[in-house]
Amino acid sequence: MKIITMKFSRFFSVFALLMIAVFASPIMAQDSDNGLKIVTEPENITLDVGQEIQLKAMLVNADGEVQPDTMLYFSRARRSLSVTRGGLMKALEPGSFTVIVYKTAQGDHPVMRKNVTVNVNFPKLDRIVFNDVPSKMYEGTSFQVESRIYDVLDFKREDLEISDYSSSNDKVATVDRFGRLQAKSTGKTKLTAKIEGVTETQEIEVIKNPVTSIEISLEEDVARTGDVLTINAVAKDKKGNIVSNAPIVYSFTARPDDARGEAAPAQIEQNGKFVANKSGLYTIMARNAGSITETTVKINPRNVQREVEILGNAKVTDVPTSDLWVWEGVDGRDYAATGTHVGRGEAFFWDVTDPENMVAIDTITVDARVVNDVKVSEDGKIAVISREGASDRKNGLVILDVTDPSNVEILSRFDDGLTGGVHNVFIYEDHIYAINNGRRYDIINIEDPKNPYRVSQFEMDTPGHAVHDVWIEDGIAYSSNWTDGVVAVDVGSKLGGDMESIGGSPENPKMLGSFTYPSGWNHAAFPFKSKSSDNFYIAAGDEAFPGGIPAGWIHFFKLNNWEEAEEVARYEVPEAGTHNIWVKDDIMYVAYYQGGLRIVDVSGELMGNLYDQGREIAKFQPSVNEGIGPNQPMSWGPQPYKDMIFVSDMNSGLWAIKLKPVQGTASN
Amino acid sequence: MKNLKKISSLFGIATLAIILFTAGSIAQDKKIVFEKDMLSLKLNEETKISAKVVDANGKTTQDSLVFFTRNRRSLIVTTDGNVKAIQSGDFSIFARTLTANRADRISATLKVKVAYPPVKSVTFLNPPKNFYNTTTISLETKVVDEADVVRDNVDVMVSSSNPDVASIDAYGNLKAHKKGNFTITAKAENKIATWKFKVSENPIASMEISHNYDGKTIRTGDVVTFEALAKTSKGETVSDAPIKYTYIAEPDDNLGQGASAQVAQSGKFVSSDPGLFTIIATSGDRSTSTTIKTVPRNVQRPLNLVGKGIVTHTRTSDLWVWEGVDGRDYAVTGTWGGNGEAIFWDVTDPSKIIPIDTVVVDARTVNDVKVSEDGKVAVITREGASDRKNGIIILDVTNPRDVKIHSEYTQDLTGGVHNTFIYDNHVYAVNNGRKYDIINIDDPKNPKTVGVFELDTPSHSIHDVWIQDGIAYSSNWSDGIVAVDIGSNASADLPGAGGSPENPVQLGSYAYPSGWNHAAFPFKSESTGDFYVIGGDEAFPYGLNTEGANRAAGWLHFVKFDDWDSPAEVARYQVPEAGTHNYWVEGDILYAALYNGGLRVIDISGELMGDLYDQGREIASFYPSDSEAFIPNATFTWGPQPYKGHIFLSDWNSGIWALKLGESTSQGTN
Repeated sequence: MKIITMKFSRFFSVFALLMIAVFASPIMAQDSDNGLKIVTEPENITLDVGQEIQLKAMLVNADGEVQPDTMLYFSRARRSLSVTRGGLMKALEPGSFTVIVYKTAQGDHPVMRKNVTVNVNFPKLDRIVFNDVPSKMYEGTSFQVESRIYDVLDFKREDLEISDYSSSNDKVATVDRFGRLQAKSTGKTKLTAKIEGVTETQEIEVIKNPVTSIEISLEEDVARTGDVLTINAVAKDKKGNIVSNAPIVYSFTARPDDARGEAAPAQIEQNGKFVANKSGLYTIMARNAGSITETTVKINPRNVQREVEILGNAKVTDVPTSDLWVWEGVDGRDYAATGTHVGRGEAFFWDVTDPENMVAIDTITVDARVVNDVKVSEDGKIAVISREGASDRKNGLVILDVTDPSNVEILSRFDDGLTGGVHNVFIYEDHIYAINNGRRYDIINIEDPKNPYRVSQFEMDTPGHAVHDVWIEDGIAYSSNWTDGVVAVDVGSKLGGDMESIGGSPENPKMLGSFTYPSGWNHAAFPFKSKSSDNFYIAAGDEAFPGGIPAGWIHFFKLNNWEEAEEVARYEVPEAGTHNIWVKDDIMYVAYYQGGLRIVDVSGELMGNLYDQGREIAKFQPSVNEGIGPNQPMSWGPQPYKDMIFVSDMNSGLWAIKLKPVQGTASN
Repeated sequence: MKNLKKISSLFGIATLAIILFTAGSIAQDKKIVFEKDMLSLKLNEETKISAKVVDANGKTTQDSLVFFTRNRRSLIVTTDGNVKAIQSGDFSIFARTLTANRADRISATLKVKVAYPPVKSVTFLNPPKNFYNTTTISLETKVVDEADVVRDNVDVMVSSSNPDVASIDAYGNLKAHKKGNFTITAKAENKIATWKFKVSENPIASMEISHNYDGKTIRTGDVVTFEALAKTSKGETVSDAPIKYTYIAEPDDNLGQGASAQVAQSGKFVSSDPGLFTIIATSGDRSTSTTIKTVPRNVQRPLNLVGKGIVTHTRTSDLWVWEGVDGRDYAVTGTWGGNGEAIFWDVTDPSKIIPIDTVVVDARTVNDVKVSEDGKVAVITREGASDRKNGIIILDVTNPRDVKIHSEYTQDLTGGVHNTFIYDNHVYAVNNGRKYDIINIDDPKNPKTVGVFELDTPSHSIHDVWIQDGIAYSSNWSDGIVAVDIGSNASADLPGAGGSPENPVQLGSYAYPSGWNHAAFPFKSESTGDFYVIGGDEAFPYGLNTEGANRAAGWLHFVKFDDWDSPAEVARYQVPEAGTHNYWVEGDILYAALYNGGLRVIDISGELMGDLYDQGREIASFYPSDSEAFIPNATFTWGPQPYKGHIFLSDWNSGIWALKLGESTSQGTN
């Protein structure tokens, strides 16, 4: 167990920021050692939003004497409480936060740290804002009231919840403590919500309900698990006219094929979208007050499972393997490049023309601890590798000539302004997009690969922003920005319609939109236009190591345009963590660290957790019984290539596999 | 061959299929040719089949063949080819050559079709006494064939004579549209049933709904029982109003969230994710609803490693931990596929687990180890003995540092003993996977068999037996869990049947479709008083690699026994991509060994429904793995035993481990 933890903390420290390394190495960093301890002033810190304070930290010995040493200050919640490296703190948001005082090793003094808790006062509450509570409701219908609470500084209070709802006339409408409003009979009432002296009200009139029937339509009444059915229910009055503003409640009863202690078998949204995890019969009900219609659908197993055939393994077991790139060389043969993690600064080149006998043909060694990323240009002539942990602190990029992959030559090094380390890169149309020190990406022209030059930079303006990766498709750069989510930037967009270019170029990147989610774990992004449904999705991947174990999932955002996006689905393998992803022809390939490679059917509309829906086509858990991580898959990245799938695995190197043909009517 | 055969017997029949397939895939020049391409039989028909082996030139060779089937409950097949059809359906018979070298074997498959007899009758199962306007009921039919077998694979066509009054769909949903008469006809093959009835006035004026958690906090995993009442305008309850329960979900996390709750038509509801849920009760065009909020269960606790005893030279099997007669704490572990060792450990200080003795017997595997209640006598099982005398070894463990053999007992046990239990001076020994023998060890030097329990189902097979309160719970693969009175401490709901070790009497049983039943553990819920037997699976659908890491399948089935005759499988605990092995319940906490999923500690308090894995009920998990172990860095946890505040466990790859559950960090998220 300890070995695993140590291993994770080791690679974790490299991919993320220094402060994260501090958290991941608690064994080595403590707040007192040999009588030495870190003392901070002031002792208790309570701030108002906007207030600044200088935190002073000193190293004192057992006799209370201050020792000379340098302290570094980090905030665990940089968006809420900023702190400079010199300890000047500013409260940006209310709440309780932690600042870390960190001391590097110097002479006999070991690495030490101390956590300082800072409380930022919650300002007084200002107002309650309702969602669109209707001013007129039909008799017998209901509505879910949702309240947002704001303080005087306009912060939304996520930690508070209203439980004091009331209706002035319960005969007309009732409301429960969760805000469920039920229209009982015609008349007028006033809805009131209260919290900590703040009140919001709304007048509601309950009117006669004209609805006498519901008509239901749906395209298919036999479908598979994972297929999203859209139920359209229309309310009509006694003359047969449509009552367009009549609210409809969708629900269902389930008769799953396996009813022996089975898990939740299906879900329905209040927009009429239904998806089942389990095969069986489902009766879907659409209701408005006393008008109700039902329809029964039959859901069959999806049956998309296929077997994996292992073609070959290019074993690397003495150093962790990082990313991969597979390409067709200028000689028509197939090649792959793999990086190494926390090792010797090597990139390996392989001839994979015969995937059953992949052969190492060249190794490039650069001054770096980590060659995290490798990418090859569309024409197969130029490669770029990223450097982190160089001995001279000159990290940056190395540009290679891979015209002859068995004799790779270094064309140039580019470290101008990139000395903080380059973690990921992408090559697109004679430009390199290089993640610069986890803060922004630089766009570097390589028309003359011996003389690369920077043409622009893209950086967010949010507080404490961090970027991890960038991927370019159709002239749009999709960067992955942890808490700031996926950011789409026009660098010469080729998309049309609602998503057309806003005039961006490599020299002038222009932001199109961004897609965030609460965990702040966004580490990778892959856009795709569904071939089967025409929907445009971004698959946003997490990377996270809570407790030292990889976790996280793939988030699916459905985009109508750059402003309208909704997180509609996820692919979450329990007890494993996502890393890199690739989508091709409505199939998603995900490297799921300890969960190995997953191949997932992402065809059709997507809703709910795809993992539960029988959409997994195959899994492949690469492992070897020797080397740095015997018997443990730790898959880094996939690449579908020609009719094969290549995958790099930290513990075992490069693998080539193939999906066997569909097995007819086999069960799943 | 020997090795592979051993695997199947050790891990039970679930692996057998895989091994056979592996054998069949070996390419050879020779092939097996059946006399007929396909066999069609009537039910109960007997026949003789034959096949020959031909070489690449089509010439018949002298190879001998055996016949067998994997459908032993449906076909009787003798090794020399006599076949009898005992169930209808599509089956397979295999022919396989007998060769000295397993790799030279070839096999072939003969498809067998046993015709279904004609349908004898179709009947309506649940016609209501009243059918109220606007309501819907699910009308079920039952089809029986000439062999008196209930058939679920016959198309039943249903239709209504007057769909304006009552319409019926292909799934049997019957809906009342207006008052009037109608006739429903059901047709299966050429048999017809008719049901003449009427839609009557709907007397329901209002509905009320209530639940059993009023005013209480509801957590994920808590089973909330809703009760809806339909009332007339006079306030009388319409007791036969058909009520449907559905819900609307507003989970706290609604960003691409999966299914977050489920409701049964009994009104029982459970959520797997926290949020607001509005439960709707509907009867025809009347309905009512109520909203509840569920919060995270927050039962997670830290699980800390205290100590380990790594076994580096072989696989580890089961364990038993006990207090010795000297007041110190000891453990014994078995070994698998090795040299027939049982290893004894001093675990008095669980942070320093020390091996103190090893008993070596003539066996490849010592699968099971058990110690008597008084800590004096141990029993270990033998499989793969060189002289084919397997059986059990009875040990004197009065001094666990110097374990002595009391006796070796092989009488009628030569097929191999896979599991045992010691209870009240008797050893219950699973005999050759067919039955269990009950052996008196009042004098451990002179054991004697006093009783035998064996099922009478075709091709029955048994894996394990566990005894509590005078009832033996055996695990019987396709025959499921079987409870047998061997001296029951009778209770009113679950009375005994006068059984004794000399006269074991069956009380009840429960089987489930997969046929993977491998373990059983009974428990009476301390929080609800309900009595459950947990049926545990074992399955290796991905094969079993004896040289490396593995993955298992299967889950735990929670079967609620209100009495011996009406078991109901109400819940499961299913860890995705892992498989269950042994487990233990103590104080409404379940300790489960999940093979590649490690050890799981699960809150099983309260009523149980749905998949407990999804409900935030997991208190902790632990993956034993060690770089020095026999199989390094890979987890394959065999069995747990909670003991004196610690949790001991054995791991197939690595040995014995001691853990301690920490205190809840309470306010933490889950």
